[in-house]
Amino acid sequence: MKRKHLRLCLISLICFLLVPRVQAQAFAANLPPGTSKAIVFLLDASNSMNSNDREGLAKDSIAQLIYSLPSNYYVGFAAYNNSVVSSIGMQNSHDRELVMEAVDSVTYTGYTNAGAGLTTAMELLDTVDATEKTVVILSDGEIIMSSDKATAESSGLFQAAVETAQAQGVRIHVIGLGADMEDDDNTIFSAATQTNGINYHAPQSTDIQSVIDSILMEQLGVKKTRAAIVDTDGGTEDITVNIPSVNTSRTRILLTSGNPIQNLKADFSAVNGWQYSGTRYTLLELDHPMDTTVHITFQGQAGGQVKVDVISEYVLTTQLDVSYTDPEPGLPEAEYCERVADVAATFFDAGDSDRQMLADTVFQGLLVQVTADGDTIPCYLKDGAIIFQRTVEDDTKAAVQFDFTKLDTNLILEQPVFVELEGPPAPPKPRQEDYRPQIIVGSLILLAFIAILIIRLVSGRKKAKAIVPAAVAGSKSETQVEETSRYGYVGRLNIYITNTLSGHDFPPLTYNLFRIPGGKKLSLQEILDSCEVDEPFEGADKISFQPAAGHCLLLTNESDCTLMQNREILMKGRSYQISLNSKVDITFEDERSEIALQYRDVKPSDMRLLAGERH
Amino acid sequence: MKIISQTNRTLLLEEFNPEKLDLLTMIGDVRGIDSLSDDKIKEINEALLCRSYEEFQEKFAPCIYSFYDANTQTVRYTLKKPESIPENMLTVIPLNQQNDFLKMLFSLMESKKSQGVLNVDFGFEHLLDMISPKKVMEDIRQVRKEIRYNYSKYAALEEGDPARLDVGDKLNVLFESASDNYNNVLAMLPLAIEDIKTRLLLGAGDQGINPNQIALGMLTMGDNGELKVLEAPKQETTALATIDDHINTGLIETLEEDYQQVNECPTDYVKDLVVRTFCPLPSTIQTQIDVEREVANYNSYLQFYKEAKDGFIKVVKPLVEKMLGVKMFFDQYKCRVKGMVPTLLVANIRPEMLAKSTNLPTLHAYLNSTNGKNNFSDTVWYAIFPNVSINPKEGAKLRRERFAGNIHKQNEDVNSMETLATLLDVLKDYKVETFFSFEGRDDTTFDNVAAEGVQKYIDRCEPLVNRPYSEYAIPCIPNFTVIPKNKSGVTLDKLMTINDDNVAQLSDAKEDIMRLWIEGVYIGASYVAAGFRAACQCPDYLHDHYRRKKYDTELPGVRYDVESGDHALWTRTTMPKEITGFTNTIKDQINRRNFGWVFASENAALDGKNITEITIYKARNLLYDPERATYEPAYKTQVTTYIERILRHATGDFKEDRIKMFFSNNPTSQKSQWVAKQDCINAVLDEGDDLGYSIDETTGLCDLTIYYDGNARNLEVEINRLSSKKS
Repeated sequence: MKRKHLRLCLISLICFLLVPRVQAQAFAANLPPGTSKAIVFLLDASNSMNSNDREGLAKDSIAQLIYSLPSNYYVGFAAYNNSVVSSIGMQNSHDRELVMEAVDSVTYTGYTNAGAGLTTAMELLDTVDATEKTVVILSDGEIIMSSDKATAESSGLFQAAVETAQAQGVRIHVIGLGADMEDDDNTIFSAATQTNGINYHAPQSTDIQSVIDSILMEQLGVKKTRAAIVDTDGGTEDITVNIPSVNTSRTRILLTSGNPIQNLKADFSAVNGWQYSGTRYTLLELDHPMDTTVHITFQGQAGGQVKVDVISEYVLTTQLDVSYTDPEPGLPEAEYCERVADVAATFFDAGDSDRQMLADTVFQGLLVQVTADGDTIPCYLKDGAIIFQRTVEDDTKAAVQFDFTKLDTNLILEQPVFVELEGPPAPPKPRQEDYRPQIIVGSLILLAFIAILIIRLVSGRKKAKAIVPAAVAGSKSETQVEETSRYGYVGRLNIYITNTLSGHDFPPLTYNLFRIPGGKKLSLQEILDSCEVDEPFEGADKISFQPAAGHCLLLTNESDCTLMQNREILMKGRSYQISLNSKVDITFEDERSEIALQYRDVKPSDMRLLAGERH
Repeated sequence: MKIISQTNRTLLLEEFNPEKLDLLTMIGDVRGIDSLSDDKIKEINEALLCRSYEEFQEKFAPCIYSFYDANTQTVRYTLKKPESIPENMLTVIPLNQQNDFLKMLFSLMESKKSQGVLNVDFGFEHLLDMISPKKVMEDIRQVRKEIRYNYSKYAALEEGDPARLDVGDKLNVLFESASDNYNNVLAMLPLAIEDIKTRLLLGAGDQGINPNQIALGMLTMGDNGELKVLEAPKQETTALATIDDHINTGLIETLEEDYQQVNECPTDYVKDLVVRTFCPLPSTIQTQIDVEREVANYNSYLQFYKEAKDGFIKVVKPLVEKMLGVKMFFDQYKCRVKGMVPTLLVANIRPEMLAKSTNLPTLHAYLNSTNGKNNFSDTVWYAIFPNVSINPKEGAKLRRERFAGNIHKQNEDVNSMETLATLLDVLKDYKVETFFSFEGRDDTTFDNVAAEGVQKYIDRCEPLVNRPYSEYAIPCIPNFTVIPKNKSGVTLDKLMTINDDNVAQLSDAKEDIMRLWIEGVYIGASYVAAGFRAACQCPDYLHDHYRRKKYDTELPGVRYDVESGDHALWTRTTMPKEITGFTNTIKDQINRRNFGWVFASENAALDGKNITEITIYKARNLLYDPERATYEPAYKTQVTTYIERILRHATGDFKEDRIKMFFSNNPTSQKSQWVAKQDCINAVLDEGDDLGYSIDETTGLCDLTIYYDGNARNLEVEINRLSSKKS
C-alpha cells in the first residue's frame, strides 16, 4: 500500500508521484449528528482462497469499497480461517488506512470458521452508534473445520450471529467466489437471505470488482459517476476528469483496472489532497476542490482498460426559514386566518456555515421530493434553495425530510430537520359601529355593478356568438386568475413562430418550463424575450401562464389576440387549463403575427439533458 | 385480437415530384386543431402511401422537364417545372421503366446481384452502353418484332372474333409505349442516328467490309457448273429487308395515322423515321439518299445526343438515386407469403421545408393523428432522412492547379444536420425512429469506409448524441454504389466521315469517339436499412428465413436483433457485395463503441454456401450508454415503444388495476402470453428478457423496467387514477 498526502492552500498545482510516504491525514469531518453508518468487511482467509484468488485481487477490491465510501461511514474489518486471524475495530474516515493495513496483513491458510468471523463482525458493529449497519462477507466456500463437531459448532455460531443481525436490522451481503459458491443453497448465502441482504456470485476473482460496484451503488446507495474508460496501450495516458462542482466537501477519484496502474501524476487545486494506491487501483481524495478539472497522467498495461469514477460528497447543515401569508378567512365567522407558511430550505457547508452549497448550476432545476409531516411535495432546487408551502392551522413542529436520490452526488446531512410553525393569528375583529351610511353607499355601488354586469353580459354574449360558433358547452376549465400558484411547473413549451410582421423565419424554439421554480406567473412576452426573439408580438405581454393542478398550465388571456384551442376561441379576461400535449394557436393583435404553442411533457431522464441547454 | 397489426410504416422525407400532392398541402391548415379527421388521413393514404415500387411510380410519376434554348442551340433540363416557360415549349420526360437511363441502372443492379462479383471485377462498361443509340435501337427492334407478330395475328383473325380483341388489347399497349416517344424529338434521336447508320453503312459490321464494295447478288451455277454470284437488279432503296405484303402496308398505315394523331406538329421526316423504326422497310417506300446531308445530320444528331444525354444525366441523377433508394426499400422484403408488407408514406416535400417553424405544427398534427391514438393501423414507426451533408475534408492545402483535378464543391442539394435535428425533435415525440444516411458521393461508400474508417461519421453525429432524441436517430453507413465514379464512362458511338469514294464510314479518330461520364451513382444506406428493418417486422419474412425455428403468426419482429448470433447471416439485404471487406482495424474502430447501423461486405458462409449479399454488421442508434461505453441497439427502442403502446391499449390508458393484471402471473395476462412465446424467432420477450414494474403511490407514476438480456431499460408512465379503484 502506497500513500501520499499533500496539503494545499488556495489554488496550487500539484504533481503526484508514487512515493511511499505516510503522513497523518489532517482532515476533520464535521459530520452532522445522526448521519453515521457502519460497515464491516468479513474476509474468508481459508487455504482454498489461494486457488480462487491467486493474485490477491480480493484485497484490492476491499480497498476499492472502503475508499469509495462517503465520510459518514465507520469501517471495520475481520478475516477468519481456523479462527479470527485479523480484525480491526470501527474506524472513521480519517483512519481507513489502518483498515487496509489489517487487510494487507492477511494470508490465506487453514479452515473456514465463518461462525467465529461473523460473531466478531457483529461485535465490531456493536461498538458504534450508526443509523445503518452492514456486513459484507467474501467467501469461497461452506463452513468447514477440522472435525464435524467443530464444523457444527461454527455453523451454530454463524446462525446465532445471523439471528442477532436480523434482530438488530443489520443487513448482510454475501459475495460467493469461485465454483463452490455457484449454488445458492449454502449456509453462508443463507445469511443474506435472512437479513434482507443480497447474494452475489463472482465466478472468478476478477469479477469481485464489479460485484463491489453493485453493492456500493445499489445496496449502499453511493452515487458514483463514471468519468472515463481508458483503453491503455502501455504508454502514458493523459486524461482530464471533470468534477461536478467546486463546492464539494470532498471528491474522490477512483481509478480501477484489471492490470497494474503505475506512475500516476495529478494536477489539481484543492485545500488538501491524498493519494492511496494498490496494485490495481488508485484513489485520489480531494478536500474542498477549487477547480472543476483534474488532469491525471498514468501508465497502464497494453491492452488493459482503466475505469475512472468520481465520487463527490457534500457534508451539509440545513437552514429552514419560514415566512407567512395570512389571507382573510373566506367565512366571516372564522376565528383564524387561513395561514400559509412558505418554508425555504438552504444548505450550508458543515465546516463553514457561511458557505452556501447546492447553488451551482448543475443542481439548478433538479427534482427533490420533500416530505413534511408525511406529505410528499415535489420541489425543484433553485439557486440552492428548496421552497415549499404548508397550510398552518395551529402551532406545530413539522418534521421535514429531503429525498436527494435524484441528485448524482452523496449528501450527508441530518434528517429529518424540524421547523417550528406558528399558528394563524385571529382575523381583525370588526368594530361595532353604525353601518347604515356604508350600507346605503354599498347598496348603490352594488346596484351600479349589477347594471354594468348585465350590460357587459349582453354585449359579451353577442360577441361570443359572433366568434365562437362551436364553443364547448360549460367550459369547465375556466377559472379565476391567481397571482401565484401553489403548483410547480412541469414540461416545456414548443414555440413555433408561423408568421411575423417582418416576414423573418424563426427556427422552432423550446422553453423549459420545468426549470422555472414555484408558481411564478410568466407572460408570453417574457418567454419570447428569454428565447431571444426580437420581433414584436402585440399583446404577448397580456397572455400569461401559471402552473395548475394535474400537470396543467393555466393560460390567462387579457389581450385582444385570437387564441384557439381545439377549435375553441379562448376568451379575453378568462383563464383556461391547458393540458399536457395540447396546442394553442395565437394570432396577435396586429392580426398577422402568429404563433403555435405546444405544451409537452418532459421525461425525468430527459430533464438532465435539457437542463444543460439554454432556453 | 391482434392489437398492433403493423410495425413498419415508414415516412420518407424526400421530394420526388413537386407537381404532385405533398404531405403539407394535404394536411392543410391546422390552426386551432390538434389532430386530423379520419377522412383526411384516408385521403393522405390514398395519395401518398405506397405498398410497392410500382405503386410509388404510378402515384408520383417522377419526371424531368426539358426545353430548348435557341441562343445556345442546346437542350436544357430541370427537375422543377419552370414557371416562366409556356406549357407547349416544355417537354415532360417521364422517368419510368421505359427510360433508358433508369432501365440501364435497374439491369446493372440485377446483373450485379446475379453475378455476385465485387465492384472491382464487374464489367460496368458492358451495361453502361445501354444508353447508347445502338442499344436503344436493339430494344426497339424487340418491340418492333412484337408489334409485327401481334399485328399479323390481328389482321389474320376475323372481325368479331374474341381472340382478335385480346390481340387488339396487346397491340394497344405496344403502340402506347411506342407513341410515348413521338412527341419527344430527343427520344427520336437515337432512332434517327441508328436509322442513318443502317442506311448508309449497309453491310458494314460483322466482317468489317467497306460498304462501297457491296453489290447485292444471287448465288447461281453457271452454264459449265461453276458457282457465280450474279448482281441482282438494283433497287432504288437501301432498305433493311424487303418484306412486301399486306401486313406491312397495314402496319405502316396504322403507324402513320397514330403519329399524325398523337403529335401536335407532325413532320414528314419524323413520320418516316417512326415508320422506319417500328416497321421493317418495305419495298413500297422509295427513298433517295443524299449521303452528304445524311452524314452531316448523323454527326449533328450524335453530337446533340451526347450533349443532351450528358445534361440529362447530370440533372436527373439525384432524382434517380432517390428512386433507386425507394426501389431498394421495397426490394428488401423478399418473402413467399406476403404478410406485414412494408409501406412507405412519401412526404414528397423537401425536408428543410418541413422543418420550418411555419410547418412543424402541421407535421405535429399529422403525427398526433397517426401515432397518438389507440388505433395503430396508420402508426408511423420509421422515417427515412437521406442525403445528409458530410463536409468534404477541410484543411487541404491551397495548391496551384497544374492538372485538371476534382472540384471539391459543397453539394447544394443536400439536407443539413440542423434540419435533421429539428425533425428528430418532432419525430421523437411520436416515437418514430429515423434512419438517416449521408450524401451519396465517392467518399461515403464501402470503399471509403474500408480505407478511412468511421471516425468522420462519429464526429459528424456528435451533435445528435446525448439529446432527448438520440434514441430515435439511426445513422446508416456506408452508402451503396451502383456505378463507381472511376468506371462511369459511356461510349455512345463514333462520328461519321465521307471517304474519297463518297461513301460514309465511321471515324476511328480518338476525338471522334463520343463519350460521356456519369460520375458515379449511389444509393443512400438509410433506404436499405429502413427497408430491411421494415421487412424483419413481418412474421412471415422471419419464418421464411428461419424455417426450422418456431414462430408466431401474429407477433411483429420488434425484438428481432439482427446483431445477435448468426442472425445477420440468415437475414441479409438484397444488395450484392461490393468490396472484399473491412480490415480488422476498421472493425475494431466500429466495435469499440458499437457505432451506427453499419453494413458489411464480408466473406461469410452459411450452411456451406457463400454469402454474396451485404449483411448488417451493427444495428445501433445514437443513445449512448456511458456505463458500458457503447451505443444502444436499435431494437430496444422499438420494443419499448411497442410494449408501451400495447400497455396503453390493454390497460385503458394506464389504469392502475389493469396494469397489475397486465403483469400478473395469470396465464391469460399479456406478460405471461409473451413469456410463453419466448422460444419463437419473433418473440417480444426473448429468452433472458424480463418485464417488471413498480408503482409509486405518492407520485402516481408506474415505472416499467424492461430487461433485455439482463440490461435494464426504464419507461415511466403516469397512472390513470381517475377511474382506478384506488382513487
